[in-house]
Amino acid sequence: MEIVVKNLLFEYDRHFSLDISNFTVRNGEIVSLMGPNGAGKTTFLLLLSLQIKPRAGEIYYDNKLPACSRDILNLRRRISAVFQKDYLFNGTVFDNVAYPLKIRGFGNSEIKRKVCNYLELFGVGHLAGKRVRELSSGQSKRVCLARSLVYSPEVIFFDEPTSLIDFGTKEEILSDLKKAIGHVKASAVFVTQDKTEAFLMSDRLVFMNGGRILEEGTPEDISFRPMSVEAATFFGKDNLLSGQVAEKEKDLIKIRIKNQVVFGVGDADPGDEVLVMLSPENVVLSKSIDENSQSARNVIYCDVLDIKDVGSIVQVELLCGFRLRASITRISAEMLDLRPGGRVTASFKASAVHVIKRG
Amino acid sequence: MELLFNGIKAAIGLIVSLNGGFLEILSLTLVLVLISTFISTFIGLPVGVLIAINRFKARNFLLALVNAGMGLPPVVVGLFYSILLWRSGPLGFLNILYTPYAIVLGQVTISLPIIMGLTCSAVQGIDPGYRLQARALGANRVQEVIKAVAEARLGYFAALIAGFGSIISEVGSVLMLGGNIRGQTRVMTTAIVLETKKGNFELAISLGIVLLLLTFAASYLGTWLQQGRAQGVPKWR
Repeated sequence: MEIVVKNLLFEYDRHFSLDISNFTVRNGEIVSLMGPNGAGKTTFLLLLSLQIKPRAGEIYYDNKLPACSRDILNLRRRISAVFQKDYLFNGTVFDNVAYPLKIRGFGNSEIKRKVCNYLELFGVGHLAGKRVRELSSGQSKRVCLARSLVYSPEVIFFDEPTSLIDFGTKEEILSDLKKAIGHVKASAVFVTQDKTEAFLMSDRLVFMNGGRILEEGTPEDISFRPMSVEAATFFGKDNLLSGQVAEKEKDLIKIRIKNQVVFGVGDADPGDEVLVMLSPENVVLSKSIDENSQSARNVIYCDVLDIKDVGSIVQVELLCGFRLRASITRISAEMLDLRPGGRVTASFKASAVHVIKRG
Repeated sequence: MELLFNGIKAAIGLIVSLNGGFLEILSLTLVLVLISTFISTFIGLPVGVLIAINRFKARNFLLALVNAGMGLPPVVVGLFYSILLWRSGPLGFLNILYTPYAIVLGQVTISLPIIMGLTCSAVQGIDPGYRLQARALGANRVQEVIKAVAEARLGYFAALIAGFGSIISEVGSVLMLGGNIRGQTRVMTTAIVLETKKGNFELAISLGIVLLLLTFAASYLGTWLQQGRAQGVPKWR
């Protein structure tokens, strides 16, 4: 199903307004909506899924505008929504997955066949007779997803569906979900705060803030090369630095950040105030200037402030006139023998430094 | 103390002997309370649900009335219906004063707001997400309400138990509307009042104990049905 939004307006008690001038979900496309809390993502999702009525504007579903309550009910029966909480109804797993089929008037044998198929698709076929309160959170989410797809909806809306699931289970569930969405050939809209989820699931990422869409593009473009300060602030929490352009030579920009100079690429002119975004994975640490650091345009001596062990990678907090964060492997950290108070060389390529003009 | 002990002994005797007069009082008590609870539930449950799920102008006023009704003094109910049903009263033509019908009328008036009010609270306590989820799965308005309302079933049992409890032990309106006529309108509570007045404490105590056992048994049944479905915190083993 294709969804086209035009000049959509919605207000909550005059404190919050959603204003979407143009938005499209193409047939079979998976779109993720990202943005900070209060950006209006969930409200937008509720509007798209016909749960709440807009104050103004149009939402076309396959080029048709729902005109009456019958149209809305008929459309609702072609779409599906999954929320953060599972909202499994009292009863067994089978009862829950059978519910949307029952209200659509499917026959008993058809219901049994479809329910079993979808439970198997999500790896919970053996739980059909179990009461929902006896399920683990991962099993519960799988049942919830099977229920939302069992009637082959044409578009599915997900509001942070895996936010309450542990990391390992989350990846498994998302992988099964992607297969299932492909199986029913549905379009999908995800509201998520999780970059991994957006990268894994979506063809296109939409960044929202203050009830408006600020940017759209591939997940990679929006999260690593955002155009707006708001998106840069959201995606580049780790290394987002304020500076001023000192010189410009073709695409290469020399930026002054406090008492340091950093080279980057972007569209800004000398004198412009800019934000500099640098992914911690792109910062290479070494004990001295070696071959790797020589090929990089930016080489800075830093003091090690702190070392955080976050599993397979280690986050190193550095001070080099400004604060910088680097993410390195555990082995690299051990080889460098990093300790707070020690000195280290940080190097990164100019192409890894994304520059965004302020205001 | 001796009086209480003798009362307990007499109560056991009464239950074991299944004395005809006692059985008559017991069965009438149960029949009237069950009929009244059924009527109150039949009206109170759907009306409570409707008040909870709908938004209309007089909703708050109606809720205030229901909540006030939950504390309605039975004697006032008895007085009100006595005036209405009195031979010269506006409803005197019905000729039901001092009959079981009048008792049921009073009991329904007492238990109805309790069942209605508690049902309303139970439904309002349901996470609105259940309704939203049912709607998102394609339910129409009626289907979505039914699905969401089913999630508050524990609350309905509580409403039922409270409604039953409010009338089985009630004496004011039963006495005023039934008149405590032997074989016709004498129930456990009015019999206790009568036996106490006559100084027949042993019988009064034994009836009281049987009434307490009856109330407990009914509440236990309701609680068992309710808690059988309740989700508990896992035990520390």
